[in-house]
This record gives sequence, structure tokens and C-alpha cells, in this order.
Amino acid sequence: MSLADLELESIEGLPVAHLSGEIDRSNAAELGERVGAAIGGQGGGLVVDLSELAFIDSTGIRMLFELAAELKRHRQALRVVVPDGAHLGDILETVGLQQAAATDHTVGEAVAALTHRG
Amino acid sequence: MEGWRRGWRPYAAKIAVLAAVYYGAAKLGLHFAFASSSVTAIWAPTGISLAALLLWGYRVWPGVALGALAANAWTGVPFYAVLGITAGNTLEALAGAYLLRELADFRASLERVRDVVALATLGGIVSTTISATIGVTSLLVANEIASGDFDSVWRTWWLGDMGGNLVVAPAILVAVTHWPYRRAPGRPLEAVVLAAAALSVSAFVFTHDTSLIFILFPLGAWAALRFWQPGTVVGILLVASVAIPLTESDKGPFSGQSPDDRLLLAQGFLGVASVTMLVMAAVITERRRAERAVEHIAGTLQESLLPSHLPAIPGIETAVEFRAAGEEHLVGGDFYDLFQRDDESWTVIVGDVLGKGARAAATTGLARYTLRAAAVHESEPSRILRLLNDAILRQSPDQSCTVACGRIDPTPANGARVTLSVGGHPLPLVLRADGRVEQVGHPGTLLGVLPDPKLADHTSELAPGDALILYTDGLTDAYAPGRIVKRAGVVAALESCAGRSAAEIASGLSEAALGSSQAEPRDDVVLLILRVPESHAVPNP
Repeated sequence: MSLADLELESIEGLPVAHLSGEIDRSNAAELGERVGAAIGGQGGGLVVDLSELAFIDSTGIRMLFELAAELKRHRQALRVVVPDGAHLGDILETVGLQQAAATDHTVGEAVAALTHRG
Repeated sequence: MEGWRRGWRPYAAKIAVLAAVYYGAAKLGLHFAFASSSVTAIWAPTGISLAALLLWGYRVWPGVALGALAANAWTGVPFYAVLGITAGNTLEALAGAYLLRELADFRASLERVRDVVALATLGGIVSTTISATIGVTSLLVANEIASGDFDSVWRTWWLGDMGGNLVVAPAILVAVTHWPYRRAPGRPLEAVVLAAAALSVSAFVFTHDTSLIFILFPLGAWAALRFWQPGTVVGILLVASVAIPLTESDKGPFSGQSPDDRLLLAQGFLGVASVTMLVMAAVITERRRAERAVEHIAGTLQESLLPSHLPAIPGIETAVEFRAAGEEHLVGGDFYDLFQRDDESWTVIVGDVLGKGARAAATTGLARYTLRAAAVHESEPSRILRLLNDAILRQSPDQSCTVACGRIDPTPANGARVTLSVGGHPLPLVLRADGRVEQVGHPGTLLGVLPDPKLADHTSELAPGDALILYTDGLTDAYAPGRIVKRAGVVAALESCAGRSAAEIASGLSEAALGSSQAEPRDDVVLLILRVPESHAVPNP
């Protein structure tokens, strides 16, 4: 049984990964690989939706940084969705994720930001 | 002369005890001998002799000789044959002990598989041929047996002695070396249940003609895995106490055979079961030993990653709380350090390395010593963190850590100036003397992920009565997601600690954030407090 669930969908041609549950050192690497595999060759970018995430530890944070680096190598961008006022937002701010990936409050905003750019 | 006397008495006592026990066991064994012949199942005196020589040394051999002589003297066998049998028994014990000690580096606790294998082969199979050969030859020369019976008598003698060394010797060795039998995980009540099960299942098995011996196997595994060597030897003795009398009266799975064959089968079963269970128990105790070694290494390593004590800083109180998550051998994780930079200033560090285990420990070591080295010639904490970021990217590219690094300079007004840089770490807090709580520092990037992390320095002043609080995310997330302490919760807890000492703030805050939960925290927790006392009259320990 996995602590976390990953659901992949495509919105306006953009891969969107919904992560829920808990991410820690037991599953971060595997989740990172599965999300990374969704990165499309057609460009655009990737949205990682953490709205339903209950917990993330430093290993999970590291996984987000790595996803951002991976996308950058493909000249794409990562956008992370964190609801307004969520504890997770404090955590991502603490670790300085904004240096590597922009954050949005909703999936719609993230998709709009990426498609507008693309 | 005094020493000689003092040493002589215990030696004589040991010989007397050994001779008496040997004699008693031999007479008891012959008393219970199968009706049809003078052979017995497991010949206990052989096991007693071997155990005595292994525990007390070769020099107690006269005890074996005296016991054997007394036991055989009045059996009606000519005296020269009795001497032969006695010599055979004594040589057997000496040879067994010699082979085990010199050849096998034998340890009497039987905690290693090699000890069990050595006892089974050198003690059980090899040394017992001596007594069988010399003893049966003595009987043949004295015309006590016909030459045609030599083979079968030799075989019975040999197997009886082997039974003694496989069943009785381990029982004595374990009884002596494992005292007081508290190391195995099995509980006393469980032992009583197991013993009752062993007796009743044995009684069932050895009263039924169909071979149901296999239903004893799970009990054997239970005894070996939960009660180790003591459980094994007691279990075998209990089964033997049921199996031998019932087999002797022609009941159970070996019934229908000749008395001698029944005896050999029961003996064979007990010997093989004993060795098998002892090997199983030895595997468990060897694993335990390996775990201990790993724990010791991990503990030593962990100690090298954290300061053994906080240094006393003139004019500043210090306190630290550290709670490690996970098992003992999961080293690495959170770390902290506090050391003098130069005559005036000090460096304080609280950090959190990604993950746990050997790789994390290596990165923790890299972080701690890179920070210490960098702090010597770099005055700006952001520069120090940048050097650490470079070092991680260069040396452990798949690792990362968060660090809050501060330089403490005393100010003329009996206060201190704190210059902080924070990389991916929760921002430190300042508790003012009047109870206000402020966040200090600028958020920066996690170290070890980006070549150019965002890192800035921030300076704040600590007046007398003010305290600087550095912590890792374990303080807020140790029991996440069930219990997450928001920053507001930390702030509220701190406000109630205004005016208290550094140690009181540390315990008050950890109590408020972590509770008195006995549960294992999910993440390490570090909480480090530096406080400027109201008056310098406060002595520094």
C-alpha cells in the first residue's frame, strides 16, 4: 500500500499530475520517476497539483526541485499548485522552491500560465 | 605455598564433583537401560565429561577417570577390561575437548553456527569413536562379547556417546554460559506455555504408531527463535524425557522394531533435532551480534556528527533539544553546531540533511566540517552557505540539506548582534524580553539543488532578555500529518516563555510543539536556544 496516490491527466494538452496523501523518503523517488515520465516531448511544461497532499518531507521537496531541473533541461517549466493559505505553501516558501518553480493557487491558473506562455 | 594451597582445594573439589556426577549419571543410565541389553539411550556421562573439560580445562580429567572406574568396577567385567573402558572414556573426553579448543576455536555458549557444527562433528562424531573402539575392544579381549557382535556393540556404544555429546553436553554448556537466561526475547509465561506444549505434543506423538514427529518441528522453531540456546536445550530434554521411556516400552512411531533399533532411532531423532535447533538458535544470536555491531558503529558515527556538549559562551545562555527519529542505526538527518570563530564571534548552525542512513550521515559530515572550515575565513553567513552549496553539488550531487547559519558578535551594551543566513530552512525566531516574537532572516533556497541559490544575510540585535530560537522542521512536522504545529502555534508557545532561561524556553517549546507523546517522531527535531541574560551576574556553567 502506498502512502500517496498519483493521478495523471491532460488538460489542454498539458500533463497535470495530482499528488495526494503523504510523500516521504519511502515513496518520493518512485513518485518522482512516475511524474517525470509524464513530461511530454511536445513542450509546454508540467503542472504538479499538491492541493490534496497531506504531508511532504525534505525528500519530497528534493523531488520537486529535481522535476524542475529535469523540465528546465527540456526547456520547459514546472508549476506547482498549492491552495492559498495552506501549510504546504509555507514549507515551499521556506525551502525556496520559487527559485526553481512558480506556484499557483489553482490548477486552472497554472494551466493558463503555461499555455499562455507556450 | 599459600597460593598452591588455595588453588589446590577448588581443583580437588572439581574433580570430586565431576567424578560423583559422572558416577551418578552412569548408574542412573544403566538403571534405565533397555531391558534386553546393557546399552542405554543417550549416554549422559560422555556429555558431562566433555562439558566439564571444556568449562574447567583439561586438568580435571582425573574426575572422568575416577567416575568411569567407579561406575564400571563392580559390573563383573575383569579389572583390566574396566581399566580399558576407563581409559577409553577419559581419552574420548580429552580428545573431544582438545579438538574443539585447538582446531575449532570453540566457544561454549554455542552462539555461533560454527560452534554447533564443531560440537556435532568433532565432539559428536569423531571423539566418540575413541571410547567405542577402546571400550568394545576391552570387552572383546575379556571375552565379554563374541567377536561377531563387535560391529553392533561398537555402533550402539558410539551412538550412545554421540547422543551424550549432542544432547547432554549442550545442555550443560548452555546452562553455565547463558546464566541468568534473560537475553532472549521470550517471556516467562510464554516459556511455560511452550514447555507444556512440548510435553503434551511429545506425549501425543510418542503414543501413536503413525509417525507424527513432524508436528514437533514448529515447537522446535518456536523454542530456538524465541528462547535461543536455553530454549533449545530445555526443549530437547523435555522431548527426550517423554520420547525415551515411551519408545522403550514399544510405543510411538518407532514401535515394532527391535529394542536396539528403537533406541537408535529415538537417539538419532533427538541428536538431529538438537543440532538443527542449535543451528537455528545460533543463526539468531549471530544476527543479534551483527545488529549490535551496526548499532555501535551507527552510534559512534552519530556522535561524530553532533557536538558532545555546547560550549559556554561568555554572556550568553545556551540550550539544545535533540530528538532522533527512526531506529538507532538510521544515522544522519538533523544536525547542529556551535563554535568559536575568533576571539570575539561565534558561529551557530542548525541543519537538516535529506533522508537518513549512511549516505545522509556522509552528507551531514560534509556539511558540518565544510561549515566549520568556511566559518574560519568567511565572515558572512551567506558566503559560508554558498561554499557548502558548492561542496554538496560537487561531492554529493544527489544530496541536499537545509541550514540556518548565524554569526554572533557581542555588543558593548551587554547584548549581541546576530547575522543570519538561511538556506531552505525554517526561519529562526527571536523572543524579546517583553514577550514579542519576531521571525528573523530571509528565506533562501535549499542547498545542493541549484548552482546559484538565493541566499541573503540579515542582521538583528539581541538585547538583554532576548532569545534566538533556531529549529528544524521536525518541531512543527514531527507527527505530521496527524499533528502539524503551525507557525502561530510556535509563536504562541514562545510568547508564554518570555523572561525564562534558555533551558526553560527549550523545554517549554518542545513540550508545546511535540507534546509528551511517546510515539516515535517522523522526523528528527533540533531546537537550539541562545539567550542574552538580563544581567551578567548570571553565572555561566
